[in-house]
Amino acid sequence: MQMLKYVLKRVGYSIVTLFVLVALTFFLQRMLPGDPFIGDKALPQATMDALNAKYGLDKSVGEQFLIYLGNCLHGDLGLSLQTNRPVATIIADSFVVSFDLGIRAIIFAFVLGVLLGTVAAIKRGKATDTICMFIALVGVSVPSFIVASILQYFLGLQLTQTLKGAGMGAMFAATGWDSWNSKILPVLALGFGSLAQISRLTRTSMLDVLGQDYIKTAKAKGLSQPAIIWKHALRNAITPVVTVLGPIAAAVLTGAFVVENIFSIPGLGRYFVQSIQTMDYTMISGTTIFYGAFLIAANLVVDLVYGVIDPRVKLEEG
Amino acid sequence: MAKDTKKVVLDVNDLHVSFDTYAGEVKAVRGVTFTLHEGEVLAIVGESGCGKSVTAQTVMKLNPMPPARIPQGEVHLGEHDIVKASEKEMQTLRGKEVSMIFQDPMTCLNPTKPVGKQIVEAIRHHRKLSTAEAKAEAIKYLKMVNIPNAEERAKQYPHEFSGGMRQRAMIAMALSCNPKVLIADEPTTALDVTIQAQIMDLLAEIKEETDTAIILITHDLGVVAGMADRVAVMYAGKIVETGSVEDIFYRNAHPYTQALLKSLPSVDADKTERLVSIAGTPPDLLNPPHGCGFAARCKRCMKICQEEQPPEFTVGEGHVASCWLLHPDCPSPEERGEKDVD
Repeated sequence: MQMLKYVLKRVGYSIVTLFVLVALTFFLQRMLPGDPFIGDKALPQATMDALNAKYGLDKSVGEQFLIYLGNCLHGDLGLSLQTNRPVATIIADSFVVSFDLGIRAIIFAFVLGVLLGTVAAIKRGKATDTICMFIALVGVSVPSFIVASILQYFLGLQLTQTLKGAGMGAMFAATGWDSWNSKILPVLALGFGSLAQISRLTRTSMLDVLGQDYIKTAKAKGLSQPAIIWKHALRNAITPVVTVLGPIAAAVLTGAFVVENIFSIPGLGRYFVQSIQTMDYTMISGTTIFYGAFLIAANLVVDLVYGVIDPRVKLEEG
Repeated sequence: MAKDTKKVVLDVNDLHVSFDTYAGEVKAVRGVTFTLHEGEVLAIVGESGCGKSVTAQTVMKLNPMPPARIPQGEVHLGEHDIVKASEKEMQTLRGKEVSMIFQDPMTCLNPTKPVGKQIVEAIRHHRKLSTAEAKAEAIKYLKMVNIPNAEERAKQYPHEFSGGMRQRAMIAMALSCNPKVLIADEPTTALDVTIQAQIMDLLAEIKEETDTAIILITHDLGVVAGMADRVAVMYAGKIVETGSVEDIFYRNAHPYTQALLKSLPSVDADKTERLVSIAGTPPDLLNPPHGCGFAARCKRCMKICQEEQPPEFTVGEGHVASCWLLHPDCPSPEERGEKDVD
């Protein structure tokens, strides 16, 4: 009951946030100089008028906004000014790919990051710790487009060609998102930064937990070190890590624009960037709203999961 | 109930424990010897940092090694040689042969696991029981430590328990595998006074009902008087005096014991009277003194006290103290020209 109330309250906040987001993007893009229909060659005035009338751009901005809002409420994000396809369909088609990439990257980052951080904490001060934390430092400092380019060049191109020369099949594909071997490098590139962040956080939090009295209690029960880590330390150490999963989802999402571009992955990021360049109003608004809603939902899920992991967290005051 | 007929469950002989730190070797325990019989309650008293907790944790090898190490001495728990035991062997002993309850019950239970589950875990680790049987056992022990609605309470998390109840749950967990030795490391220090009394009553009950021997570590002499059979007074990593409760309270022979007792607030004391304290600080165990550890703070210190460690002198039956004043050749206070030592 309390849970339901909490969720409803959060959904309420989310709607307000989304409204502000819609309004801001809508009016900001109209303030940009230029016109969606100005292409390489000038169109006759009559054609321009017809296009403007078709997409409702001949009405006043305020009127357009109200119409857009009304359509949004019906789930209609309009037609793309460039391709004339419904924005919702484009998003639905391409987001499947982006989501696939993103979720793989987050899982990769979370599992390996927690592992790396835990190992580093257990081997604190030893060579293993130094190696783990060096990897993490590199991950935090090097932006994803550099990681992506390096992976693509050395693994996707050089290594694969060497292997091909030796008569073996391709290990990594340098571009695309169809076969399994094309999915490895983008996931690595996209997840690496988050992995680094998660492993550093896990290490700190794990060290803190390992110094707690209840770890001593567990040891006094006769449990072995691995059992103590697995049954008692991990769950407590992971709580702060889960809190950053929201921001990490955002980082992965924005990182995906770049990584998708480098690996020619037909994801949503491409449309998001292109739409701004081509002043595709409906596309800009559509993708922004979608990303906004997605992030808000991701953060809500993280907060709910938090309460499941740590029973002391009572979800009352949002 | 003659002590000699009872089995010795724990035998600690000349135990030394050191910690290797960046500053050097801290000699936290410097030759501690005691035996513990079945069903006996031994209290180890002393001020903070005197090595009482380190001694107790060494019995379970709970101190991380390194930095801790045992350069010298023996610890025998029943037939098990603790000093030589591997970590794997220790894992079969901890919780089963010897278990421990800690000072702060607020932080000693895992906040993300129901209390009952944490007890079940200890039971299942040492006893071949099904989960259902272990659950029943856990509830039985929770009832034994007087937790009301044990069935319901077992499903709750530690944060739903009060401090006193958490300590009870800790005791239930510690007893759940019928250990031969229970180490209670300042079990009441973090609790308020009424709860303290309840926990001590519970420990006294356990003493009566089981044959588990208890090592009670405390700096609270009031707690000691209530339930200990024997008392060991520790100072600067050594036991300076051992004896029965009566020996320690009424026939004490070591100046440190005397000073410690004098610093107890008394009910009949004049309200305006200031609490007596022992002047000075304990010695730095990085560079422990050659002579008696208490020499620098002792009002009756002699020349030899600063030069040589005092051996143990027998004061009465089962009552020994390490102080040069007890040496037969030691001149009497009058001969030394000692004025009022108080």
